[in-house]
Amino acid sequence: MPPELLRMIIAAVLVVSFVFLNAMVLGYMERKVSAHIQRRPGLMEVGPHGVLQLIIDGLKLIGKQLVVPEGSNKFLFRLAPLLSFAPCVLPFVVIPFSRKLQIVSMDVSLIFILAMTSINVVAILVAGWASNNKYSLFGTFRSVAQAVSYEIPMLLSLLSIILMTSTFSLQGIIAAQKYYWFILVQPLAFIIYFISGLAETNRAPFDLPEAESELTAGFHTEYSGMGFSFFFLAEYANMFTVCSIATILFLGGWKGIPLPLGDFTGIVWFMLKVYGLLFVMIWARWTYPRVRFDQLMSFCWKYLIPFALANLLITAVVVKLI
Amino acid sequence: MAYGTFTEVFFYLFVTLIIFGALVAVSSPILMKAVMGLAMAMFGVAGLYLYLNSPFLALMQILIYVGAVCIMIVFGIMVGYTPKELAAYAVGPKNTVLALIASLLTIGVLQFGILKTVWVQASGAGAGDYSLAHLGETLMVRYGLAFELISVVLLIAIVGAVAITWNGKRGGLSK
Amino acid sequence: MISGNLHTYLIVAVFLLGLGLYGMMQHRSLIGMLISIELILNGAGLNFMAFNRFLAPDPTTGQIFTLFIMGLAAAEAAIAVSLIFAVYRKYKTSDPEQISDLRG
Repeated sequence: MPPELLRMIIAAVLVVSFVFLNAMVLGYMERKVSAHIQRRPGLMEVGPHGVLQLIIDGLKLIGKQLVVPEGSNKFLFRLAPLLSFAPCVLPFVVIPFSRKLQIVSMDVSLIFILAMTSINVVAILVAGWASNNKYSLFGTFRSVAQAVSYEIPMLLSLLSIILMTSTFSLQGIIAAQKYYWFILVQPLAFIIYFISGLAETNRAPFDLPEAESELTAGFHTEYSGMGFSFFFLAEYANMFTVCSIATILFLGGWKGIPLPLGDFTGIVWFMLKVYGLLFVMIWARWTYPRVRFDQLMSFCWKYLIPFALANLLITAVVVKLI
Repeated sequence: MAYGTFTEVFFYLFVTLIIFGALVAVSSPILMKAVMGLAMAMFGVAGLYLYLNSPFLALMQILIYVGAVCIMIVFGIMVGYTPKELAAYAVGPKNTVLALIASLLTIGVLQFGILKTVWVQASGAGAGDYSLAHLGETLMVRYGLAFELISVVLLIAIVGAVAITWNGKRGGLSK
Repeated sequence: MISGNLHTYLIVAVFLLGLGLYGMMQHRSLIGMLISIELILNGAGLNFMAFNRFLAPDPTTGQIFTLFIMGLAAAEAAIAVSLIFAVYRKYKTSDPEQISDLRG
């Protein structure tokens, strides 16, 4: 077996198992953190302090029957979870976890991750349309409009960083943060990117498409069992990707104080930073009320995009003239 | 990119994706399926751009076409068509034969032209600088005017699209 | 080796053009025609990229041209979709056969 093929197989297995592991850890973290914010103990039943709960949840979801609705397009209905899972897993191939821990290093890694984010929108459309359900369709419209609108301030705020580093490759961006992290010079871009990231992954306070009290569950209403768990995994993988891009571009990636672990200090610092940002995401969920859809749209188009454009303009002037 | 049998398999896969996607896009009476076929064909073309030494163009194809144009078309379908009309757009048999003849004739004549022509290589072809920095520099320096013009065109398109569907009320669009 | 041959890409591009033409004549709805137009534009872009790789002295020219094709296709699709909205709002149907005010 040629070494390249072996390397690719190992990488694929690692990536998929990392996605599942991340979903378990993040799911547990979310439920525990939400519980403590709401002053209750949270998961305590299964295993010590509920650490085995997510494994049991996964087994339960595997065992459920996948019900296909009556008038829907059966092929597209079954395809939609896979279509949503694939572009959420692929960014893990280019994310640098440490100095040498990167599966593929491309010259255009950042654009690759952004392209995968925009494929996610197509998957949501297919899922919503193939469900043959009015509420799914409403949830789909809102989710797609939100995702497409908030892609713009996301791209603009990332462009401000790219103007400073003049490379799209993620290792190059980390290497350009030799003396200071970019969050110190671009705090506005970080805030805009973080807010857009919250909206892109349908997290609160922008989780109107998944609002349980209004739309049952949005575009994944009709999915049960493995179908639902694929959307669940995709959402957590998406959250991890958004936070890791924020870490790489603004917080210095895997760079940190050298620990006595050799080359593995990079991955320790990277995971600490990413899970710190994920903790902030979960914290934001229980701090702010849900925004209404027109407030969401006006916030994006009337506030975030002008601020992002102004930031880009100021960055361009400062980089080129100073 | 080193060409071997492994990459050839994926090339055939991409070409199959294009052919199948285009066939679904033009022959399906259900418009949502046609758009999905279009998205499939665009993925295939993006894959072919990878074989033509430009990963940047492949990703731009996915970002722009699949991520924006297909979604716009889907919104156009959902908002502009009632489900009853969507089901009624069957293709008539009278036109099919004529359309088939016309398109096959076009394909045949052009392919004859392709296979007969001797394509002259300019000096130094196939070995240029494919890096992203060179692309950016050429875009800004040599084609700067075209770059500015296309941003004006996009601005006018956005403003025009909003102006066409504006119905005069302060609150914005209505159906 | 088929992927290193110029003719392959040109044949695929012509195929896209022919199918787009067939689709324009087949689809009776405006959106269907828009889908076929996008297929034709994709074929043209593929053509430019193939010539860029195999025949052009400076390989950035074809790429920039294809980027412009993508941008213009997006602008044109936006305007076409908004026209379809406006037409639907006025005529309450999207059948091209029935959208006509001129007699004769």
